Amino acid sequence: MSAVRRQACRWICDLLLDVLPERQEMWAHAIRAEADAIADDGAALLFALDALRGIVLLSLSERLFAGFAGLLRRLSRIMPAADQAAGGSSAGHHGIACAIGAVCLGLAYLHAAGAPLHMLAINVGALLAGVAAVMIWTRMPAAPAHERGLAILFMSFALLATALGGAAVDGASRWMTMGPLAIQPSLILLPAMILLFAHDRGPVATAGVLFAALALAVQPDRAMAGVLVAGLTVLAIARRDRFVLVALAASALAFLVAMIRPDPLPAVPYVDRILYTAFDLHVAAGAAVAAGAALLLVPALHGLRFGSHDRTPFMVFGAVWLSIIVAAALGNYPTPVVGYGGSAILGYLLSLGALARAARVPIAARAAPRSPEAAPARDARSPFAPHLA
Amino acid sequence: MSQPRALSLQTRKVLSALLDEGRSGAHGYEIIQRVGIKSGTLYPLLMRLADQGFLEAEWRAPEVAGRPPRQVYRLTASGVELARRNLPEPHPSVDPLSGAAPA
Repeated sequence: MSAVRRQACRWICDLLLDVLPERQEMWAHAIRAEADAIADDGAALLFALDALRGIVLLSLSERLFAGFAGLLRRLSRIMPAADQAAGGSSAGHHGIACAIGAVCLGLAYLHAAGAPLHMLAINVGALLAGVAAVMIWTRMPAAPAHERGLAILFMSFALLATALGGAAVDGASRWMTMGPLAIQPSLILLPAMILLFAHDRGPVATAGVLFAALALAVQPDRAMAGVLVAGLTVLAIARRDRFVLVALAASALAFLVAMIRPDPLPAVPYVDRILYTAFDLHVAAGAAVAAGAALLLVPALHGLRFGSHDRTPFMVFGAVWLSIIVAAALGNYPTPVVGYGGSAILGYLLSLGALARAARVPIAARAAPRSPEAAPARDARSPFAPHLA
Repeated sequence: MSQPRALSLQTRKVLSALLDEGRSGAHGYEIIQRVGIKSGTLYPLLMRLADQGFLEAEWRAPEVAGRPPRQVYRLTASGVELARRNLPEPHPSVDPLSGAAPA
């Protein structure tokens, strides 16, 4: 028995050598020598075991910190546009850091609440996919205004297709099934769509918003219809034109229809109403969810505080995500990013990409081009101009 | 060389123990027995202090023949200064209000 303990002690010291980086291997040798000098085998084993525990925890925390810091550095390099738009600050990578922080806090809640592991994996997968999408999007050259209008129109067709042929539950058709996953296109597309509309409005983009409003009334989706009204109301306050007013009127009508129609869907565990249930679980779980939800608004507050050019996109972004959080608090709607469901995570990251796009060009340079030749001239002023080469 | 803003009680106790040992230094297990902490707490703490330049380590030949060499830890000049500024507060042996020793 004594020999077994001593052998186990040596194995642990070997493991320490593997855990520690080369520059710190001296400590593993020191611990081994110290354990060898302890006469009592049991005490030596406990000594080595506890040293391993402490050093593994230290090593893990250092690696996590280094990984997170490296990720932030990379993000700050690929999102300079939003940074410059925010007066040389770091709204862009702050936004993605907020998304990562909110998802991590949500994972802590889901784990504490006993959610199945596949739910945690789906949230992590959505986060990775969303970050990758934003990276690609923000590195691409800016599309001309008419293409942005077409993008809004295609997004609205996706919402209409969901309303007419999506997966239905208790009379609501808000989801599309993709293999084992059920995604909610309105939560993924609508926030980015509203920010794109705030960026560039025209007849095609406005038609897209009208179709989206119709789709939300048909689904029915009170929460996202309310989000559309909130985003467009803030936009109308900041930038009133006929396109915004038409879109706002249509969205208000859609919201009214959605409110009149019955919505008997019950709350889904780990998805809906977790702002309340998390506090029932534990005050720390509740604090994690509340802090995660608050993090979602930080990019808007940061942009409003430090933005030097046009603050409208930040106001719209804040209105959109605040209204999604409020809807989740008031009804049986998904609690964004911190709750289970990749749709809100993807939607948040895509809207960050749209925010970076919308915020990077000074308002004076953002008038719709009179001719196709005008677009490259505008893009040349953008911080993304080097990517156009 | 960076200096930690606030030292934990355990760090202050370890610094105090090493301060008492002076230039002769102390082995890891000796510090553990003297301060009353576990190896999983001591070694990360020693590693941080060494990284910050407050601690130096030296391999020393064993006092008993046949044993392997062991590492001895002692404070550097800046470590001594840090330890002196952060001595652990003694436990109150007298009630400051009544003047009586606690039961």
